[in-house]
Amino acid sequence: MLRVITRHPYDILDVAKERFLQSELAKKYNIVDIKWLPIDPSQWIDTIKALAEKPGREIDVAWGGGPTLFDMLIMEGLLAPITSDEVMKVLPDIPEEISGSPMIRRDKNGNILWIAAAIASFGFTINKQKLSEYGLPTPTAWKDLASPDFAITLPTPSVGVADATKSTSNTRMYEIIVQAYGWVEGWKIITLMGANARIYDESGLVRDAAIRGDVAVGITIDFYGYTAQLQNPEQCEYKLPMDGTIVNGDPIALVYSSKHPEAAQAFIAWVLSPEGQTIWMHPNINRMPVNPKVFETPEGQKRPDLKRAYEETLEAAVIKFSDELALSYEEALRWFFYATITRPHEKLQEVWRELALAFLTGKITEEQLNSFIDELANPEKLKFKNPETGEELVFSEEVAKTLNMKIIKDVNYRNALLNEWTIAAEQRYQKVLDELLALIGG
Amino acid sequence: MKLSSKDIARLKRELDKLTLAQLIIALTILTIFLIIPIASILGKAFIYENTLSLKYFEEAFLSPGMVKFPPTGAMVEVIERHKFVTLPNGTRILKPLKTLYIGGKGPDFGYILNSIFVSTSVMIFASILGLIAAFIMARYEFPGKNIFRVLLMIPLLATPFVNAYVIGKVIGPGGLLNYILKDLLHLTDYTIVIIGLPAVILVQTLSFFPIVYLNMLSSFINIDPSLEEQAENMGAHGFKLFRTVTLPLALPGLAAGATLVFIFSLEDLGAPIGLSGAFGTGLHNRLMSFYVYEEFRKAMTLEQVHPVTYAVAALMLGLAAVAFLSIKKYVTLKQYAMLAKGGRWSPRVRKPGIKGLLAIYLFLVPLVIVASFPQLGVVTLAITDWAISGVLPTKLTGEFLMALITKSDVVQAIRNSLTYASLAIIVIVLKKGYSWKRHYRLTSYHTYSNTRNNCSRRLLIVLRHCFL
Repeated sequence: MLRVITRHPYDILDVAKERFLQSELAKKYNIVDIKWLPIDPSQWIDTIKALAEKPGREIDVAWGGGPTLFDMLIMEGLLAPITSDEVMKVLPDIPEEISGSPMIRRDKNGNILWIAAAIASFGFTINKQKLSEYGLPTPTAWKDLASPDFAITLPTPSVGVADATKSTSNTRMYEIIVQAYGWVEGWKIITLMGANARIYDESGLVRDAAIRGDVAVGITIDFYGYTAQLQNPEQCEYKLPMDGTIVNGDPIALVYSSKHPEAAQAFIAWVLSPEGQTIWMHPNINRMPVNPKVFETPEGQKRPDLKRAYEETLEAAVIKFSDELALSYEEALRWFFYATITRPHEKLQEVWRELALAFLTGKITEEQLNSFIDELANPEKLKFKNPETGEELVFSEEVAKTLNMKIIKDVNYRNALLNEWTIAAEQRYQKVLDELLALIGG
Repeated sequence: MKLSSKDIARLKRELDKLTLAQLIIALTILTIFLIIPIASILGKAFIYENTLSLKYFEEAFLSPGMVKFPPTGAMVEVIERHKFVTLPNGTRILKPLKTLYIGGKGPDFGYILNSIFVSTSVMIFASILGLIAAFIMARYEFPGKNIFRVLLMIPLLATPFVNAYVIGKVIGPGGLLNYILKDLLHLTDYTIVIIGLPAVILVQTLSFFPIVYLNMLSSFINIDPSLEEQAENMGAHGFKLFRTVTLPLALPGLAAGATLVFIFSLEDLGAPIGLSGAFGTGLHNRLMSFYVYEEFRKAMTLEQVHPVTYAVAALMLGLAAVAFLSIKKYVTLKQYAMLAKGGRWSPRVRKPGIKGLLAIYLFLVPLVIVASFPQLGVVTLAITDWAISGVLPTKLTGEFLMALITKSDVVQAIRNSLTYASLAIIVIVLKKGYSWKRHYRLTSYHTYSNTRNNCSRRLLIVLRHCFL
């Protein structure tokens, strides 16, 4: 029996288990059962270490959860090199990298530590019916979601996003925007996108809202978009943003504690093989394979939509994205989003609605609009006091990096900081509203 | 106090081995799962740097968004949403869409006062609905009464999160309500949007009014008819009889039901979570229960909870306790001597005239329809494509029901629920076995009537009354 720690949902795991246990590889290595351990990412390191001490319960394979998580396992020394002949047989089919992201992670000595089993991109899912109902333009880029056009339906929003403190995939998208546009412009887009949006508690709710047509566009990871396309084929479509995305490899790896490394690697080899990759073609799963040969299998040939999506992903407008940089300010970014966008959402939405309508009805010029936006959403103009030192700061990238660790470690500090941010944000939203109304005489 | 030998003998007689074992088990469970957690929350809320302090409460009240008085935002606002229309010549213009926007911008009293505002409102509305429904069901005989008896109970079959989700689908801007009022009946060209606190009040009132209804029903049924007859002999009829005799006699039931509703509403998470699933974040989240939930949830990744969260939790606990104790006090003060209480007599039930019948149906039919919406919605969601189809479902599907047996995580969840529920029943039976025995031995029936525990007994009585 193999024991696999995983982030995949049972939609995937059920299909994988059933098909793998019937495969030649499973028979060859005498694997009769797989035990899934669907564990929250924050618990992975502890769980792997703890179970390594318990004979018979050691984890063999880690599967799914994104490159950041697996790189963390490497740092903790929890992954073993993949060496088996079975894996080496399929390895030539796996691209070394896709759109600049590594699909095979090696250490300094050239040992393979993880291999991507699927790929994922980030973009948004549109609902055509809802777009046409309100005459909204079809968005093609992140910045479109921040445009005044999408503010016309307010106070009922037409964009869907998830709060950064609650969704890792949405956090990743905000990080992409910040790295694609730079800190200041990136935050302006995130803030206005938030103003245009319903803010949900989970990325899955954003997908559902786009499927139902509660929103005209929701930011989603690609396979949520493909699921939406499949569930509501006439209305939903996943879009890769023209102004930049990233393609992540979603890894599979051998865990150091495995007592059956050959059998464990047989499973890895199967997942990477065209046969194993067919699980991504399942209509409930809809993920991008890492091995393009799957499209030559009978099941793969039934999904020309996914093949087209795969080809589009290969050509996606990818940006140079640094994981390290993203991690250096991730906590600050998440909590700043919560404190300045989610918490004062009504106020933000109210002032943005007025601004957008004033612009669209010609009461203010584009130049005036941009100057208001700068006042409203430029993070480097948001003044707040460092709760510890009383020093006056602005939310620049450098400041975000210095606050990052403190936010994780000290809950009192975080609470005080969030309050500072929310109060400062509310004040500047009100100020812009007052100035605008004074200008247009509302 | 010194125990006399008589006391000890009595104690020995009552504390047989079984009772003692039950007592110890019950006390242990109570200590581990109730007293220790509550004590730890109170400890964390009241202790700052090793001394008793109100610092976190002060911080809770001073945090932004916790208390806003006077409240911000208007409850009802007529506002224009817009859409783009492209004219034949290619220019794009903005077309206004008239909208009645209820609860989206206000009222917002801040987390603490919002909770009190919502719970109080739910208590009042649920009491009115429950009182009228109970009076009708207790005092009138009309065709279809048995059907209503069952239907009025449907909201108790709670699927809390889904309730709010369904109501979201009904009252949202593209929901059923607007479809019916605007597109089907052409009654208005306004789109009605109900969100925020009014939406919470609506959802909770519909979920909780049967609690008042059940309490009131058993109160009305238990009133000694001779008291009302005496009043009638002395000239009290109609509303005067109701106001001066019937209602005061039933008041303890009303007070108990209303207090329960207040506490349930205060603690409810189903409405705020369900509504934010339907509408995204908003004023419907700005409640103490949601605040505590959210802070704990965020702490899952960082493993830290700010002590202000404990202070808010303690505040909720305090409010619930005050509500509970005051009702207990009130109920013990309001006891009326009745002959033959709990006995069998022919109840004062009469047949209404045509007008009365009409009034009864006009009240009950919309009530049971609206109140069963969530349950109807759950069934609809399960067997059709309503979840993704927009206003109305377009086709039947067995896909979701199949998942009950084909999806292994769902199967596991069902198995877990059944296992835990069965275990809970066993524990409750053991504990109740103890407490019921005690109560029947040690406390008289009278002093015990109308306390919270009694509600479950009343519920049983009423359920038995209904179904057998």
